[in-house]
Amino acid sequence: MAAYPSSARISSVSLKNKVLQTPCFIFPTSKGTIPHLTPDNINHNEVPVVYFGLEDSLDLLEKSPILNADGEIDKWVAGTPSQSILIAPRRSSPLPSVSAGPHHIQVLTSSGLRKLTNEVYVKAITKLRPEIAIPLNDNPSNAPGVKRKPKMIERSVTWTDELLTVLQNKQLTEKVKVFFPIPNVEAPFLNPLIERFRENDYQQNISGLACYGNLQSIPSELSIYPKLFLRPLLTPLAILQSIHQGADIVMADLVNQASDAGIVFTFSFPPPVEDLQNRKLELAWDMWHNRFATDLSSLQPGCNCNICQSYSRAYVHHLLQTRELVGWIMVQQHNIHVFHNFFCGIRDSIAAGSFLEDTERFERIYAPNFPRTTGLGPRKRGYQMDLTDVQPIENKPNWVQLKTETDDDKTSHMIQKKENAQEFQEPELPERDTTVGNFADTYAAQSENKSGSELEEDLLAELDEIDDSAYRENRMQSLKEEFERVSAAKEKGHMQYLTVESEREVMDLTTSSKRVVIHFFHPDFRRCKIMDSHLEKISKSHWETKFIRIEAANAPFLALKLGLKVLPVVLCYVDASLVSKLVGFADLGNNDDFDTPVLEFWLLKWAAIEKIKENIPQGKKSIMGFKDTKNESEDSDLD
Amino acid sequence: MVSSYPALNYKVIAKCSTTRARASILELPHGPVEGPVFMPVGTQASLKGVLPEQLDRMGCQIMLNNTYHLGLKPGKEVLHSLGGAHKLQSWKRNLLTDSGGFQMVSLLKLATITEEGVTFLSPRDGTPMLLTPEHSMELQNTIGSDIMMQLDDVVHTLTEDTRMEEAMYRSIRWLDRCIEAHKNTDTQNLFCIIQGGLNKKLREICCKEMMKRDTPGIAVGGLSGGEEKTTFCEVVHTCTGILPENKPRYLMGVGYAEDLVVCVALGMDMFDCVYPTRTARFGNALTRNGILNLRNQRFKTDMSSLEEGCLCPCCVPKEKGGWGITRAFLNSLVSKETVGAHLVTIHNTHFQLQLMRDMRSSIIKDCFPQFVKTFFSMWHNGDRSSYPEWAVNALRLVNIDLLED
Repeated sequence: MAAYPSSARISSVSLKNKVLQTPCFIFPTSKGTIPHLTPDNINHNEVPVVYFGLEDSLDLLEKSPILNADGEIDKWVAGTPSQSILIAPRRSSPLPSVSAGPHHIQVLTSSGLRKLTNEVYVKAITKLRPEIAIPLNDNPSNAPGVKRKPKMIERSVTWTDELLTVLQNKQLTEKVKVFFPIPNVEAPFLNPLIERFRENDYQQNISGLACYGNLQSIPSELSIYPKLFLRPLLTPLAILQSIHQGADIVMADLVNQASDAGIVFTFSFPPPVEDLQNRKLELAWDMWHNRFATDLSSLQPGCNCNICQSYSRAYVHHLLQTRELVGWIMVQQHNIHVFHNFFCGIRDSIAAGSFLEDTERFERIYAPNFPRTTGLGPRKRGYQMDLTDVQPIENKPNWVQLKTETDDDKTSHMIQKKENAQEFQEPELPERDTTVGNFADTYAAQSENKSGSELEEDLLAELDEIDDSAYRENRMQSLKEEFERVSAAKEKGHMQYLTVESEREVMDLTTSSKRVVIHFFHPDFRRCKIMDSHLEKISKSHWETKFIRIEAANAPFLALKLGLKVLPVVLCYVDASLVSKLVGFADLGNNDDFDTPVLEFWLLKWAAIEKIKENIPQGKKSIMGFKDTKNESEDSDLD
Repeated sequence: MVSSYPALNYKVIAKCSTTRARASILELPHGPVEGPVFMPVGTQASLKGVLPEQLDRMGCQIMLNNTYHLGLKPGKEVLHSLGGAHKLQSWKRNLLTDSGGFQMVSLLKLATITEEGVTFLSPRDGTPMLLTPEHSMELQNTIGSDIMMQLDDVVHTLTEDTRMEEAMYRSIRWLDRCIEAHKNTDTQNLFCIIQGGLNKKLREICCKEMMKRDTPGIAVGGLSGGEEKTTFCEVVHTCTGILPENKPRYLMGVGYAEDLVVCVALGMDMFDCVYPTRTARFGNALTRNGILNLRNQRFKTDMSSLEEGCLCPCCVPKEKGGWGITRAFLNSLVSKETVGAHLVTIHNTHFQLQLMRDMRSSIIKDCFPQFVKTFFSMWHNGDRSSYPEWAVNALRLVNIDLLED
């Protein structure tokens, strides 16, 4: 049993038209929307404050529409009129950023990386006038080095000072409350801040702390301020623990994640009376599960949320199964309601003095994690995509299951192979953690002005999933053509293992050949050399696939976008879509002396090659001549 | 101009003195439906992005579900154990279901039609399946829709006459089988579907044969497949000239604003179409002044609402209790956030429903011809030269001359 040093407390934060009772949560928006919910589906009492990550809307930096059209931030939020809005530079739980400088940080907008300077950010805050603003701050996603840490503090202070000065000049300090950003560094680095906070302007103009790091590192002198905790909290227990550590306000990212997964919350606080059978209670249910197909009861017995009052589990299950958008609206509404009640319970429990005890009981009787979802989330868009956790966009054809006869033996043979590949793939699909994603979509989402007809095609393609015959004909035709292009493939540089210098070239190549395998390597890493030796061999006999390698240092954008942290990484592209990612040797037995066919089978599984070829040497291979059993994560880190 | 059946009372409450337009009321098992009416399409038991209660709040009195899709998921057994589609989606208003035949022919190119029914390969496992009029009725009886459609033999409007004639006669024979197989005449209405393509002679024969069967309502089908609009309107005009005054008339698959206005003038009462909601998801907003493509750069900083004076919650400003959604905000959301699609869907659905309500009240006040002229003038921003010829011609058939003051 974990012992909680309890700094849990009840306090309040006064905003324009409301007093926030804490502990409470702030709900993260995506481009100003609470995912899936139009304003009439949001209960103002349950979501009094929303979080707006400005990077979402800064594609053109200071020329972005949000900074040039009339009006304040409420014009860019689909919320209720009395909702308060907090602006921060980055999304809640942002994708990793690469760098920062004395005057800027790097942010990820919906059309790529941009350098956001404090000048632009301050301008944005004074124009958009949110009720709460977190100044620009430097918080690298990876553990910063010793030299970076003092700079992070310095930048928080400088950038906050600059913001305060402008707010004072424009007499906006009453309207915009500033939460000082405390970077993710250890306590000793934070001590200089204590002095700063004794000064007049901070005394008067800082309304709270935005904590990007460990709550326990924050000097006790600053504990009078309300603490907004911005680290991701993935379970209800993690939230309870953070409150024990002194968090007053936390982010509600876990609600969005659960709702997208079709997971329906069932937990409550204080927890129900202990189950004597010593069985752990579930925190939530996976509504994709077939046991709900004919279940007309409400999502959670006794819940008085709008959804539970009107709709059944059977309906939500049906909507998820048919991937109807309404399903996610319902799950999201219910989950927000449960989450709101969870916080009401926390406050009551603290007030009653039983919070520690209730937390221990919560830990004892509930399962530690949410159930794994068996379904697929809603279709994600590129800019919000963390490629380690997405599904491929699925317009999975049914044609493979139809037995067809064709005159062209070669074509049918190729179809047969494709079928095999599909069979391998099938059981893997529900695995949320298989690192697959549709790269083409990432880029499509980034090209602002995709034409109408393209979008229509996307959608019609979705609608016509069941149109197996047309799809089959298309596929057969394209496979036929592929076969006729064998010789042409050689001319396109297939059957060679080339090193590419720029990421632009990589992107071009992924679209110029049907199948592309890319090895991201580091010239000094032994495992990369092992990978090279295998790929070199495979490339010689697989004419149908283009094999290339690029030094990871030459591809910073891709490395970031794909979350590459460990090398080697092998990516497979088929029809310009990323179908699979091999990180280290994880899928190859995590062993340095695997045989080439092991890699070959892996490529076949993702249809990155056509079939297993006989002519590859099978012998053991270890470049250094010894076995290595070290975990590959120790091999390297990009940073 | 009244008709009465166990599950439907129909009454024409006002007739336009110039055109064939009628304002009517259909009393159905799940409440009244005021005609002329547009029925939003909830293909898989939901209008994409809009909760049933939101649709109810918008004043929608009848929604469409697709039998084919509900038959696949959740399937007949589940629907049976739930007690029908109303229960499934907690929808308190009326439902109309199609027969499932149209989807089969349009989605499954391998479908073949014989006297027995439609044969197709199952999208699940590729095994051959058969949908007969009896199956369709059984499934629609299980769904429990307030209005069911007969299984008809759908062929493209441009098919040559002998196949068209065959399809027309087969649809009549299938109607007889549907009537025979329909189990819940007390709670569900079966509508027949007039076929016959663009051939007026065939349409006439079909109308007369179908009328003999005395179904509670009559649909005109087999149009809206890309045929020439003038001919399309002539066929509608032919049908409304023959069909009885005292029964609801449903024009299947029609939902563009101009088409709705013209076909109401020609005497149709009920319409359905996926267009308003589908186009919403592509970022196209319908307004009285035409269609806004919200992806367009020119909306990037446009802080006005989609349509001034529109009463949908998106367009009403925050100060007046609405959501104050701007074009610029939607421009930043469309094709990026599901909420963007939801917002435009709500606006477009409201547009359709409001257009029908406005037509209805102008018919009741007997100023419908003026409404039609104002509508076209606004839709084309006052530019008469851009009025489509087919609309001008069709409205002349019912004594409105758009080009005259």
